Amino acid sequence: MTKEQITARLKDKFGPELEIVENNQPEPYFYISMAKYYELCSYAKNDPQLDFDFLFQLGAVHYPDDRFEVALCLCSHEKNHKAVVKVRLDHDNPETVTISDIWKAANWFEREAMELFGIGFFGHPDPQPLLLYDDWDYGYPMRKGWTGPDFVPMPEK
Amino acid sequence: MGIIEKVPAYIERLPGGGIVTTSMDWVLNQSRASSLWYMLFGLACCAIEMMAAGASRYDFDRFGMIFRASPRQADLMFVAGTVTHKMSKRVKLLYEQMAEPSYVFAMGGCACNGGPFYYDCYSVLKGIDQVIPVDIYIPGCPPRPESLMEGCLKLQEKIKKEKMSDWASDRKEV
Amino acid sequence: MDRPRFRPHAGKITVDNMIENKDLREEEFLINMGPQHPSTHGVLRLILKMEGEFIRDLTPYVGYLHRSIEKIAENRTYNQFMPFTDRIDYCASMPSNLAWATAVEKLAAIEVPERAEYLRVIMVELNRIASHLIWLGTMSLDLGAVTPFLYAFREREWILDLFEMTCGQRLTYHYIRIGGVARDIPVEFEKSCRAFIKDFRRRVDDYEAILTENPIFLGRTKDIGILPLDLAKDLGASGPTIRGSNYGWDIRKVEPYSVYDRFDFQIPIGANGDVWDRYMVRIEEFRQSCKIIEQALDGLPEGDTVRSKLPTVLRPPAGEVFSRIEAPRGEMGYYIVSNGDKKPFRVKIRTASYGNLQCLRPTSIGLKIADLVAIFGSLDVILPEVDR
Repeated sequence: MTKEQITARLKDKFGPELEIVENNQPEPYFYISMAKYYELCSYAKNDPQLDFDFLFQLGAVHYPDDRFEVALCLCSHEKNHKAVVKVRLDHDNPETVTISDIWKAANWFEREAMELFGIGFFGHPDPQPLLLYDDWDYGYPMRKGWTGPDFVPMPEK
Repeated sequence: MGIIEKVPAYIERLPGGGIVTTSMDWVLNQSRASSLWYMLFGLACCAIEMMAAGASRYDFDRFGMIFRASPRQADLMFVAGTVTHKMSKRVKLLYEQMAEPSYVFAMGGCACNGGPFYYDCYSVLKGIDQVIPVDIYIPGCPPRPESLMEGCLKLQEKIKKEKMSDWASDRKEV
Repeated sequence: MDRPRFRPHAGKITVDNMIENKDLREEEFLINMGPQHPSTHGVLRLILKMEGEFIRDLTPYVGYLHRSIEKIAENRTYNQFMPFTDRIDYCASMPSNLAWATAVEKLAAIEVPERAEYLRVIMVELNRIASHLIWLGTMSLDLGAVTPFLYAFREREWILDLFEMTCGQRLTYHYIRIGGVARDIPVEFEKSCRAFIKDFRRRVDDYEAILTENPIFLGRTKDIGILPLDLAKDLGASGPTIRGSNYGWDIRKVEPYSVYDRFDFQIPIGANGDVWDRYMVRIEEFRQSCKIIEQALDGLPEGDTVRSKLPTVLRPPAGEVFSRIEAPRGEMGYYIVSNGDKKPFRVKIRTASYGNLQCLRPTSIGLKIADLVAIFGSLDVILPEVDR
């Protein structure tokens, strides 16, 4: 399906909750509201025409003093198309639901986002640290403006 | 181990004892230097160069060096690659499991002082010498197998200068 | 500073915990494999719950090589970040460079000269052969065959000679740059490369003679570690891991990037999804890569521009991009968010081994620990890709 067809199909189903990002990339980029996030993921996987069966990655982005975002890159094997779905999270209390029951691959991506950004995923089956060491006690390192022990920022030239 | 440690000191006090200890030194050092067995401890990119140095073209076996998987059977540890804080406890444990005399190479920029991961990095230990004593530093990212072999030859020279009377004092304080 | 918001790591996985939670029966015991272990190809820790020789459960622990490359990316310019992409997957450093270059060129709409595209394809395919040679050597070493290790590294030295002739480095090349390649190939390269390809085809037959029909190898790899296709898709497996399960998915064919659509090559597919199939897929990929390199050398356009003219400090327009390529281990991709500055705002790296490693657990439960070693060898996981 082309970019316009995917956009039209999702807009049909989700209407005002879906916001389209205008850019000149060949894939469609969307923002979805928090309330319909799980439903969109579920629809994207199970709908026979969209058939997004491959979660390529789930990444978190921190906009300081503004918001967090979780971006999903979805791909389809059979239909050979891609899409990027993003959801905005509150800055002081970033939480959302887990989608690891829809795509098993999301399990480790969400664990990483939890420990590096501090985003909570409700219902995650195994919320343990993945990459940082056990006694890590210094906050969430991937947030902008974080400093900690043994962190030497590159000097500006 | 107590009596054996003191034996060289006693022998040296006898007339002509110095000759005995230096010849024994020479024999022990030769045998130790010619058959260093290294432990397979590749962490990152430098591990591939270490494997290449042990493989067909740059052969380590001609120096008598064979890889052993267990630290108990090895007396040389190449710390090849970046050491993170999470891994540093295990590196220390492995070093302590190697029996004396044991030697450590810091191979590559990351093991020497953090390498390209010195700035903006919250999880990398900046140099393996913060946790274990290092004998030879080999710079490079990654160092060529020839550099690695030169490091081994330098280590052999260092071993040949050791003396038995050093055993009595703990020369490797961890 | 707040404590991380998840329950503390219950693991300290100790025997007392597990008995208390009624999770460990009397005839089971826990074995710790790694992080230093000759078969784990890097620093991976596995805690195996064993009953005799059989594995009942398996938990991987990663993060022993987490070098915070994504944090570093936020503080380097686009060109300065290129050497770090080498170190993400050091066995296949050219494709890692290519992934970053493709992503930034897609973001900033940069055209690459045609000669540079052909050179990129030649280098990436040579590196694919080199990476599969490391895989072959280490997997056979794990299964007990020492000879293929020495043969594979001998061939690899020849490829490294070619790379050294071109860019001066043996392992982490930094040759593919944004907008093209760093420099043109020397005049001796083409002759050496053709001689290598001609000889290499014979060597692949040698490796097959040692391993493919060997009854010990067959006994250790046939019908071991079968990965069903829908599980592979769900867990995010890619590359030869998913191609072994009878699915011809290769980004070079379905979504061609660079000039791959001009070459004629096949995608090898396995039938059952066991270890032997994944091995055969990679052996066949040796031959297909040779074919691509020959076609690329034949069609190499004349000219001497190998890098398009770009400003010294690149400032792509604000926006985001998502792109992926086929690295030797699977799909590698970047999601870059840019705000118009000279440094990227956020770089999210997705590597092939992240998905392939998650296939270890479902395929090895119920098998013996020796089969675990064979399965892990066939998945071809490199830990810095997982940890970044």
